[in-house]
Amino acid sequence: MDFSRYNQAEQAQINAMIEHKQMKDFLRLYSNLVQRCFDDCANDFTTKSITGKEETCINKCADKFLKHSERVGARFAELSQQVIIIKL
Amino acid sequence: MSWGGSFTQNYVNPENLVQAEQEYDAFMDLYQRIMTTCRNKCIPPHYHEPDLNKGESVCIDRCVFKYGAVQKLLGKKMDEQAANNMGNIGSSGGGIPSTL
Repeated sequence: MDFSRYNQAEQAQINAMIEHKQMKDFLRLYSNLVQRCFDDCANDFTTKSITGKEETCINKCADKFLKHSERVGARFAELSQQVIIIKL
Repeated sequence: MSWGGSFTQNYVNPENLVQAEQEYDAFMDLYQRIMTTCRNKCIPPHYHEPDLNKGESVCIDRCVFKYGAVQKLLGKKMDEQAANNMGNIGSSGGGIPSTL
């Protein structure tokens, strides 16, 4: 995404808008992570606290998810160097 | 009050902001979708280790590029469809209705 065709004042506002959206995206990433790890790992409802097994599972799930996110980010950056037709 | 800076550098055209926002939203939407889809397709819900194994890594790489390729293919197809509809106004039964 290249916004250099806009003037300085517009770019300043665009950057502020992007920062705001990135915060929202980060929170969404976090809630997706919680959702996924809960769905996959938290299956023992004989107790309200997290069991040892569940905790291990959740830690591995979180690590895997974050590594995945990193890898997708790297590949996506490569992909966007090529021509993508984005339909607006 | 400072009059420094030219008018053209300081004037904010609201249409440009809307356009930039749409571009950003489309870009990030694509990114989110690729992330979710490739996670669902490549990472099974059995967490034996905290790292991605080789199979998962390769799957993710291929998934991202394949998604981009599918997007490009369908973009071309939509363009052809739109071009056909322009040529056959009224006689084609399919396509996106213009009342949308």
